[in-house]
Amino acid sequence: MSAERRVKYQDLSAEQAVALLFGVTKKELDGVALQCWSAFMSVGPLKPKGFGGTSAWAYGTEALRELFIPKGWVPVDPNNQPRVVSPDGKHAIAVISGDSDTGNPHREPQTRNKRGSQTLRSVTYNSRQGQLFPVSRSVGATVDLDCAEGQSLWILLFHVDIGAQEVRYELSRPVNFGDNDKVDGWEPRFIMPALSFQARGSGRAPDDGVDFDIPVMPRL
Amino acid sequence: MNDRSAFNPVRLVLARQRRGLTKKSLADIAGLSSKIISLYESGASIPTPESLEAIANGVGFPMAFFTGPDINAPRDENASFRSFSRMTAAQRDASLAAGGLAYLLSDWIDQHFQLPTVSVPDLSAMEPEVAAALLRSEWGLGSGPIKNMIHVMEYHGVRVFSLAEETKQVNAFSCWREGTTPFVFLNTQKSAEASRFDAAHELGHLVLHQHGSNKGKEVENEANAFASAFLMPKDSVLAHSWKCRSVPEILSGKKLWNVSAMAFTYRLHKVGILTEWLYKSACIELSSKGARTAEIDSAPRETSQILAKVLGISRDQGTTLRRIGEALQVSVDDLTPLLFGLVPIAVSGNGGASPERARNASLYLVKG
Repeated sequence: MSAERRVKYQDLSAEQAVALLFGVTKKELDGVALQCWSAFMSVGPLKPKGFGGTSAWAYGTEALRELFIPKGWVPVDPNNQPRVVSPDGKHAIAVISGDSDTGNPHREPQTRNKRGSQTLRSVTYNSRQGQLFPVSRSVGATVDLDCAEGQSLWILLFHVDIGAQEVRYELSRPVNFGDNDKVDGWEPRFIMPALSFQARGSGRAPDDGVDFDIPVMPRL
Repeated sequence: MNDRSAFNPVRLVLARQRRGLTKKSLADIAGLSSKIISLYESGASIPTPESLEAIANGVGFPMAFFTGPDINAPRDENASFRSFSRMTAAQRDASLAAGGLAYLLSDWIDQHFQLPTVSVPDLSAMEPEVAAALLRSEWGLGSGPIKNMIHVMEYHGVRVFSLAEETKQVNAFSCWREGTTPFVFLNTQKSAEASRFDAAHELGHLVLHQHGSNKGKEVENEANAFASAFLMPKDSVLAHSWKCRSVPEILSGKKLWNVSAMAFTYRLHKVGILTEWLYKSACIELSSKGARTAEIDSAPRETSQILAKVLGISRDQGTTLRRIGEALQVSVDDLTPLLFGLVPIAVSGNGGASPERARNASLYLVKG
């Protein structure tokens, strides 16, 4: 990247930053978060507890790959961690469930579950990288996509909040691994506006049903 | 009316049917012959101003109502009427004619308000249970109880009105207006639970029978199965109501789903919680408690959010229901029944007295 084209991501909105870095729009990423929500919501009450999060992760990963593969990215599973990797092999994105601080700019979220060695290696790599490079569409011929070495990992961290009837998400770069084996440090964080489903219907539990607010606008 | 050529015979038929009159009975009331009424209705003859006035007085519609464009009221062929056996032809025609007036009111609402667009899918090739699950998924409803069936339908573009007939003989019905806008007419004389089930039943007709026949025992059974599954998804009933194996538990458990005790009992049997024997026993016990004729411990009635907002905003802007009636050339007393039970409305105590007559009421100022 030439000096003239260098921009500070802090000067950009999250929407602009993801467009510049990954060539993806907010609306496209919303589609992935929406899929997480839908998958979570469609899990019936007889399924094992916690399966909603698993389902959201699985279908969110699928939606992420469906979004990026047409952009030239490739699906890979280094050490069974599902990712999509940019054409130049330098960036990878994974969908991971976050805690309730996800999407909150005033709090530092953590991954919901403990992460394994693959994430640890990527976090270590990320923490040593001082610069962000936009994804290049040129294919890195010498890069071994499956080894995940030299890849900057990004996480689409999502949190389905049933009480608030919304899904919050951010596309953030993990840079710290806590003693509890969860990712707890991020730099930068591209936090997207929460997607609200207030009007879409009742929650999963019988007593948290919400009513519809039906838009009725007078014509001018 | 000066322009006799503007007379619209379609509106005469609608007005007569709305009042439940035969041509003969209208002729008698208006002091005309049955034959001339037939000629007017067929468009073969145009009434003189005097004849039209007599007819207008006879049916209680303003003279201006008989001009105006056609009103394509719901027809017997496309309305999902249920049991014809308990309903007379006059009752059926009066309900369909009231549906035509609802179309008029709906057009006025569309003209003045932006409402949700229609998002009711065609699921006609599906089993009712599958269709119910699919529609819940498509509408993002999860698998819990539906808080308000009317709101769910309104949110997805269904227009909901009250059946204007004040009798339990006429069941709810639904139809696709010109194949594009779904309408549901609910009998608000019934219990809240029964009316809610009716709403889900009619939703079943709208998604399952949009293109095929919507009459007959088979399609009625399909709509019932859809309603039962839509209101009470199998997995959620198994998860939350598995304890319901006695009448006290049924009466307590039905409140979670806001359905009638009988509908809940049927569903419990259908999903396997009640054995055949327990199901029969529960039905007999519930019948002995009168649950078939009146709902035990009934819930508050569901109301329309769209109609409440439309009327509220209109009122704030100085447009009362009476004004809307004037714009549509119908009496406010013909609009009120379409809204009855769905939205709070002021009902005139003297059966539709004009403001002038109301002002003649004997009121005295009493000095203290």
